[in-house]
Parts: sequence; structure tokens; C-alpha cells
Amino acid sequence: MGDGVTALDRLSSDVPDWLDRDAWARIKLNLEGPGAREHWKHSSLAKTLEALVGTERSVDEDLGELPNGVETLRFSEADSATLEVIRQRLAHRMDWSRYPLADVVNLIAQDGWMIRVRRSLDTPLIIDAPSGINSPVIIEIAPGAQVELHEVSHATGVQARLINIVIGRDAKLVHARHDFVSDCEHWQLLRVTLDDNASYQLHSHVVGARLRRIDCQILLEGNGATAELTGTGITNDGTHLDQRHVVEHIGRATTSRNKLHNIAKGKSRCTFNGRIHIHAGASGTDADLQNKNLALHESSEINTKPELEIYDDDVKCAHGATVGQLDEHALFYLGSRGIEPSLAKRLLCIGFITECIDGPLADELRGELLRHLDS
Amino acid sequence: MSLLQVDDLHVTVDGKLILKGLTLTIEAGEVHAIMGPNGSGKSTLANVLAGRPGFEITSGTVNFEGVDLTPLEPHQRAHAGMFLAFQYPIEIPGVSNMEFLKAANDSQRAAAGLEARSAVEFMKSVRTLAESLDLNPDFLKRGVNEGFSGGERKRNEILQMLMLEPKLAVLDETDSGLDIDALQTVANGINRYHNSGNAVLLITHYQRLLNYVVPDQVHVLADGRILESGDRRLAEKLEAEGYAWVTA
Ligand SMILES: Nc1ncnc2c1ncn2[C@@H]1O[C@H](COP(=O)(O)OP(=O)(O)OP(=O)(O)O)[C@@H](O)[C@H]1O
Ligand SMILES: [Mg+2]
Repeated sequence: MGDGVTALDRLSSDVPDWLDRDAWARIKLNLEGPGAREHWKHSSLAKTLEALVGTERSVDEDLGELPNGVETLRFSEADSATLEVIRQRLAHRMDWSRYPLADVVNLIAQDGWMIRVRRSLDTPLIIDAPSGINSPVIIEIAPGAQVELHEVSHATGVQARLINIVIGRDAKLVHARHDFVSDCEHWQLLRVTLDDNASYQLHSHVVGARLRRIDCQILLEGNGATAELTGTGITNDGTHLDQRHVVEHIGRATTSRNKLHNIAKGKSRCTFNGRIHIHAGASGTDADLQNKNLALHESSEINTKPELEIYDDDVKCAHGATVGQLDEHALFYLGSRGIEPSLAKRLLCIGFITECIDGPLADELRGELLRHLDS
Repeated sequence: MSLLQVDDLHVTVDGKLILKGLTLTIEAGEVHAIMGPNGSGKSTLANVLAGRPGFEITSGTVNFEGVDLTPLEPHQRAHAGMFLAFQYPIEIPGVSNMEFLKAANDSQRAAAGLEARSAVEFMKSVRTLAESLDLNPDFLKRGVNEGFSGGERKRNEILQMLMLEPKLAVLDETDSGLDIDALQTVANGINRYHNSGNAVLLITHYQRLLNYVVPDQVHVLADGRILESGDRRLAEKLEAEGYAWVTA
């Protein structure tokens, strides 16, 4: 890590108003801490840090045409009351030791976007992430609103994104995201906080890259809140993918579903770490986490580790993680119908990921994922 | 030249000898039925014919239209005209039944030097087949055998047989688990398929199917061998008296 810390010298020493004064001290402390070591076991924190500090903030950020009912504000234009809201949002149940790079991104970006969705939207809200260090984004969904968010990126090179979503009481957000560019180093942190009876659906489809690390933290704070996270990942030869989901059940009678299928090909590394944390008092929690992985070649490396931390008795919690090869019985079945082995394997792979392809971008996704499967 | 000629076949599975000198000849145009106690090796024979990995032929021969089947992979056997309706059809989640059927049909046609049928034309013909087997067309959109009832899976096997038009259809307990109407539907499907150029090998525990699909020969497979062969009256005798008199 020593090299990484010297890389920090290249970071601006200006702490913007919307960030805690102690951000700098925090970075130094957390980069060296045991938390970072544990959470960055399968991706190099030093290399990621190096890549980030060597990168400018994004210049071509443009939220484009926003649907009616959406208001935006730059952090730098916020009045003092709003600044306080921003600071609180960013710090809310934030585990800086787990995400030490968040402050690095904040310091490089120097500014951020506050996006307020006041009511249900007729068209999706779209984030098309450019390359470089993206401005941190806070998205607030008003109580009762029904919103669809598409988060896509076509950028190459180094990229970092911080997205912080707050879903109001009884509101519903369907979030479809994908990353299909392999020619990049990408880190991002997605944090979602849900109020009473709020619902969140994530459909995330990604491929490996030179470096791709996606952290996701879901905070089910409100009673009756539900989160459903579905996703697929494909790592091709020479690529890396490391995804971490932390789901925290805090309110009463909250529900979470995680379903992720990954395929690793060639010499690649594919990691999923799913953690369910049920806080004391989160009675009536119903949590389920399923992660299945296919390793198509000897040299394909898969790491999967479900983690459970449960501090309440009245909970239902199921989890499963498997790493396997293609099912021989299924291959024989397809073969017996005249389907030759290479096509049979392809069909089984398609089936495996199709089980987790869903959401508003599903059709466009399927083609794109198949392209990566065949490459 | 016989359609299928099996001679003194010995097969081991996981080192255990299951088929112990099985001999069977099937001519084009015939219907054969194999009956026999649980665990006697009926599915083993079916799987060996289809080329399932893990079934080792230690001695004996299997010829299909005079060609040695043993070096062929499962898909090559299918191209040669072999079909197995599985006793336990496999679930393939995420691959729609229609997609699967199209892949099978395209592969089969490509092997025969024929062009793939257009998607529209193909789907129409599959829907017609599905209706003839009392299968709700909706099931074509679902994952292969995913969540299908036992009877639906069996009818799906028959649908594949009708679509692929093999030379030899080996039906491994396709009649098990069918209600009375479904049995009739499946039997109609088999009779529709069967003609003077192909053959059917029915593996069954019940004589009832044989009332609808009339066999030319009935065999008793026990302890890895065919111990008794006869006409359809043999099936009736077995139904009435069990296997003890054969195996004694
Ligand atoms: N992988 C295996 N390892 C060891 N023994 C096996 C294996 N597969 C099958 N067998 C054994 O081979 C024997 C024949 O099995 P097979 O499935 O052919 O029987 P069957 O006649 O089809 O029976 P059923 O009427 O119950 O379907 C059985 O004793 C079975 O336990
Ligand atoms: Mg059997």
C-alpha cells in the first residue's frame, strides 16, 4: 500500500465545502487499515488508487434532457442548509473503512450533482457516465414516486462513479445498469437508502475489464422496505470483475433478494462477495442471496463468499453460492437432439445468464451479453 | 441389413457390469417393447444406444443400418437417426423450449445438408405439433422442461420425436406418469410417427400402452439380458403373472 499512499501527494489538498473537513485524515487512516485489506482482497487497492489519482475529473458531464419532475443542483451552488443535507447524506451509515476510495473521488471531483425527483416520471432518468472521475451524485426520490433509472457507460480508460440514492416512503425505483466496455479501469460505489415501504430493483449487467470493481450498499431502513438485486457478469480472457453487495436490514419486516449469475472464461478473475447484515431490531427480515458461477476454463478463477451477520432472532435468511462447470446431463440431453457440443455449451451458457436478465434494458442487453459470451 | 443390430452387448457403469450379453434385432417398420423389473438395465440399454458418457461397452457390438454406432458422439447418433425419449427429461432453465427445438431442428437439418427453416414457418409447425399433443403453446416460451409436470415433460419428448422424425425412437417409460387421456394422446403421437421406414422401441412397465401401440415383439429384460421374447400376448402374461416365471 506504501506506493498508493505516496500517490496521494498528487491529490488536491482543497476540501470542498460539502465534504467533511477530516476527509484527508480519513483517507490516510482507511487506506492503511485492516478493513481496506479485507475488502480489497481480490482487487488491488493500490492499483485502483493509483489509477484514480492519475485521472482528471470528468469534463463532459451532461445530464442531458431531464424528464419533467426532476430538478438538479450542483453541490457548489448549494445554500448552507443544502450543504448540510449533502454532508449528512454522504456520511449516512457510510463505512469509510470499507470504501476508502470514496473520499479520493470526492476530492478529485470537487463538485457533485444533487438530483431531486419530485414525482413519478413518464420517461426514465438516464445517467450516461463519461470517462474520468465522475462527480458524485445524490438522487432523491420523493415519497410515492415511481421512477426508472438507466445507468449506462460507453467510456474507456479510468472511470469512477459515486451514486447515492435515497428512496422516499412508498416510492419505487427500478434501476437498470450495464457496463459493457472492457477497455477500462472502473470503480464505483452505489449506495441506496430506503424509507418505509420503499422498493428498489436493481438489474445490473456487466463484463470484466482491465479492472472493474463495483461496490453496492443497500440500507433497508424503513419498515417494509424491499430490495431486489439481479445481475449477470461475464469475464473474458484477461479481464477482472469484483462485485460486492452489502445489504443491511435495519427496519422491521424488510425483504431482500440477491440473484447473480457469473460466467468466467479464459484466464480471468470473477469475484462476488455478498453480505447480509441483519441489525438488532430488524425483526421479520426476509433475506435471500443466491450466487451461481460457471468456470468455463481451467484458468478461470472464481471467488464467491456469502457472509451473514445476524443480530435478530425473528428472521428468515437463506443463501447459496456455487461454482461449477456446465451440467453434463444437460449437455447429453442437447447432444441427443443432434445439437453439437459447441452449440450445446453455448445454449447452456445463454440459459444460465438469461435466468438473471430482466428489467427495462433486458432485450438490448441480451444481444450485448451474447456478443461477450461469443468473443 | 437390420435397422438396429445389438449383439452380445456387455456394458459397465462405474465399473459395475449392468448389461451382460444383450442381443436384440429391430427391423424398419417394427415396434418392439421391452419390459423388465426395476434395475434390470432397460434405461442402461437406452442410454448406451444414445451414447451417454460413462456407459462403457466392454464387449459386443451395436450396429445401426450396418454402421458401428460406438465411436459416434450423441449428436452424431442423432444425425444418423437415433432418438431417445428420456425416462427423466432434463430441465434447462433460461433456454426457452422453442429456442431449444429450433436449435435441434437446425442442427439436424444442417447435418442432412438442408437449410434451416425460417423462424416463422418453424414456429408455426411446432405450435401445430404442440396442439396435437394437447400442450398449451405457452409452454414453448418457458425454459426447457422447467416447471413442466411429469406428463408435460413426456409429451414434450414425443413432440421432439415428431419434429426430428428419427429412424429409431427409443421411448424410455414415456407412458409412466401419464393420465388416461395423456396416454391416449401420446399413443396417437407414436402411431402418427411410426411408418414402414422407421421403428419404435418402447420401454414400459405397463401393458396398457401396448393396447394402443401394438408391438410386433415383446422382450423381457432381466439381469442384463433378454430372457424371453414373444408377441403381444407375452405382455399380457407378464401383467397377469409378474416376472418370477421368467427369472426363475
Ligand atoms: N452410475 C451408476 N453407478 C452404479 N450403478 C448404476 C449407475 N447407474 C445405474 N446403475 C445401476 O444399473 C442398474 C440398471 O439401471 P437401469 O436404470 O438401467 O434400470 P432400469 O431397468 O431402467 O430400471 P427402472 O425400471 O427402475 O427404470 C441398476 O441396478 C442401477 O442401480
Ligand atoms: Mg429405467
